[in-house]
Amino acid sequence: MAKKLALSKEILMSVEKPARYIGDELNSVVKDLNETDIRFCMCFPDVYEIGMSHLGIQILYDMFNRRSDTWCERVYSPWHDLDKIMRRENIPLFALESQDAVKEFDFLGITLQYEMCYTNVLQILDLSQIPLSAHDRTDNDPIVIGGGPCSYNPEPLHEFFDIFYIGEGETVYDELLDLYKIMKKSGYDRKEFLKKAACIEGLYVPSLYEAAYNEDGTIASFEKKIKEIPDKIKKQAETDLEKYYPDKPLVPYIKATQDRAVLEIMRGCVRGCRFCQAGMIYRPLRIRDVEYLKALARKMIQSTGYEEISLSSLSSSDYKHLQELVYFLIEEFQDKRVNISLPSLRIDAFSLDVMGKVQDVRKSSLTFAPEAGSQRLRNVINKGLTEEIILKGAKDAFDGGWNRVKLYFMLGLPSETEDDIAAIAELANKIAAEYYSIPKDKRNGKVNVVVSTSLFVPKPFTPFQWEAMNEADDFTSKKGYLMSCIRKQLNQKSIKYNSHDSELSVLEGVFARGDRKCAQVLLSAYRKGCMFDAWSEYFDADKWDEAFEENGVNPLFYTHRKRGLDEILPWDFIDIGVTKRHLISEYEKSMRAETTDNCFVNCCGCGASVYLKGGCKF
Amino acid sequence: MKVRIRFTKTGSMQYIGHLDLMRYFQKLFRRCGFDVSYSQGFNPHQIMSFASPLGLGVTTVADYLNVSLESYKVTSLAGDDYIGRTLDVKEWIERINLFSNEMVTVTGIYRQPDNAKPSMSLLSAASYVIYGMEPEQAALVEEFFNSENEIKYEKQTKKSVKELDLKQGIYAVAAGYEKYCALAESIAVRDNDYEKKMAYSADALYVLCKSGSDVNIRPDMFLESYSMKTGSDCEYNRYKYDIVRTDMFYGDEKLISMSM
Repeated sequence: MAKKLALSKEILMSVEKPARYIGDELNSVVKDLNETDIRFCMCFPDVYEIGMSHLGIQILYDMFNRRSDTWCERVYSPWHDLDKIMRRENIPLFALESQDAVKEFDFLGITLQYEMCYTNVLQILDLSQIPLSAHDRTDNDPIVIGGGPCSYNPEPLHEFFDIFYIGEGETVYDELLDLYKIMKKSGYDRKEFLKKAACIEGLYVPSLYEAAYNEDGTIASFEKKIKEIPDKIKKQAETDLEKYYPDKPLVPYIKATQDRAVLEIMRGCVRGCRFCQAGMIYRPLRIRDVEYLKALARKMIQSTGYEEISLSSLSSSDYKHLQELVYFLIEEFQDKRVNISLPSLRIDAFSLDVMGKVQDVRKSSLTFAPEAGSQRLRNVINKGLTEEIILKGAKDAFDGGWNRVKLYFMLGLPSETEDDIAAIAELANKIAAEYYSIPKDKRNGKVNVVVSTSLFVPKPFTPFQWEAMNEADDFTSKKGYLMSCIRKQLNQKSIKYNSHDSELSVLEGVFARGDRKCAQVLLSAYRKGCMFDAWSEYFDADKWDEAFEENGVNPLFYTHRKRGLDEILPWDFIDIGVTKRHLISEYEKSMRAETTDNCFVNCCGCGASVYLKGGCKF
Repeated sequence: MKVRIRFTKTGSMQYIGHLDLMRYFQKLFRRCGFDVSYSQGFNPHQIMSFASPLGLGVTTVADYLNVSLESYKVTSLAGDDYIGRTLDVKEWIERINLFSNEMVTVTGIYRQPDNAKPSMSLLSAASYVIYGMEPEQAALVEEFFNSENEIKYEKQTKKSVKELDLKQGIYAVAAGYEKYCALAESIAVRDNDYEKKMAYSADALYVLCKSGSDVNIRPDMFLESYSMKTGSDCEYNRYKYDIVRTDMFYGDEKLISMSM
């Protein structure tokens, strides 16, 4: 029998891609409501195709649904067309599996993967008909939980969430759900529940903490309001990576951004790049067993029918069994017509060999992420990639038939000068020149070097968390300068330049290091119609300017201000294992352009080893 | 080895577009280990073609797709102990449906000669049932079709507007299943057993019309012309009715079900 849908045929037929809203995907879970106690709705606050590509939700979806007392469902941001209809016709936002209203659920968990989805969070709450402010919610409203990398500075969103889960979801959700179940049976009171939840390690209940500000806008104090709860929130890190992994991942009907099976091989990163938040918050490095991954790969392909599998981690070349795993995948899958999609690997004999085996050399491109143009600046950011390595890698690849190279850089890094920017153009030129050093009859047409720049946004829990960020105008002029440098190069015709939108990055900078005062700005911007800000065609800078002005908040206070090392930062109440002392030491070393070894070479004593029994063992 | 497969696409699967349906079948065949042949080249794909794409919002109980098969053996992509076993057609139908959802099901697999033309080029007609109409209104629609000498419809194509005469393109319009059977009797060879199994409603509206690459008539075109001409429905609402494709046919003089 056809199941009921929340939307009528007339509505579904009038919106783009109605398959976004019907659920029923392969491997989705449907349970009997009479046999479950807890309804959890997991949300990725962006459009379906992006949300469905996210591995974290798939892991948690599987984890929750393994509990017989819990039914976890999903919801994504309705696209603009449906958003209008739902508001006009007062249709409450619904979960895909049951098509029931989200407001009927016990929990709504929202993953916060990037700052530019914050207005979408408000859209989700609003369309769900859940009060936007946590204070206005009653016992009948779902408990709204935030998680994901942006919750490492949850303060700009403090007003809209009941709980933030700081860290990896595998560790204490069971404890939280058990607590909820017990309280539901013995007389539930929302405030009481939140108080008890706040005692669970890793859970932050913003309404139970208070921030006071100095006249200059910096934080004077940050205190808990009640005795029983911890002063500091301890980040959660799962140490047993073989406990949860979905061997039957969800497969959407429509093409998702990641239309393939994904194998997470490691968590964490040993590199210690100083701009990288993921490199710090996901420490310590944890590795999945290669035999476990082999079995998993086979099961995932069988259960999905996918024609492609990819590896995921922050730095796959550092996985010590990478060769074994990749050659296994090739052997196991190539005659079954499963493509192996390689992550960006360090260019060496091994990676060129496997790239030649799994990709069409003529069509694929090499990727390097030097992040900075000059060696000095690469030392500042601790990016251990040298010009020599890049040129050698490019040369080897060109000899192997490749002729396309992608280069990723950042503009606006601390201590950056015009020389550092010019060095980007020079490096691109040298790579092109390397290609033309090959005899003409051995070349494969023209070389194609694509330079992309993103704009440096200082993030919490990085050695650059105190640093000033460039203003939008700085970025624009730097982009212009880089363009003019590229045009001066001998091989300029082979170099193409792409860059990111400046205003969007500046807004990202505000919310990345924002405090509680930013919440009202966010609300104002949403009320003015801001949504899907990550989509440049929907980003409306003017509305955001108005929102800042109306609330008397100066965005430059958050972006363009260098903080003192003794300032109380909005996220200081979170303990990620990596110590502040380590971040300061890294910050100071960066100013001297000194590098730090990666964890395999030398332990830098960052502090994250407390998560592992007996410390890191590399 | 070539086979033609009859399948259903019902319920919420009506919102899945043609290309996504194709991708659905590709994954489905891989999961159950159906030994479909692949094309050559750097990006090999399953050799598969559909008789006619189905529009969004329309369901079907008998559409067709052609695939080339290497064998009737379960391939090593399957995850169970059926790998390597040779199954007969009936067993394959069961197996595929075990791996599919309830809305896309295979209801027939028909071996084709090696030189068989693709179903797409053979297709000449399709039958539909339309739900959501009162019996009295269905009778009026039938009467309208029978009394008009010409039913004009302007078809918007990418470049121009093409004028069609639906009277020429439609074989039969019938209010009620019994009447439809009587009318279709002399025009088409239908799969009567299958139709019985589908248990069509006695008083819905039935339409048998030309379909294919030359003339492609859809029942919604006819309903739209009807409401415009009679003004009964001031504006045609294409979501008011549920249109179900009930079979596809080949042949000119006599239409023959693709399942035969």
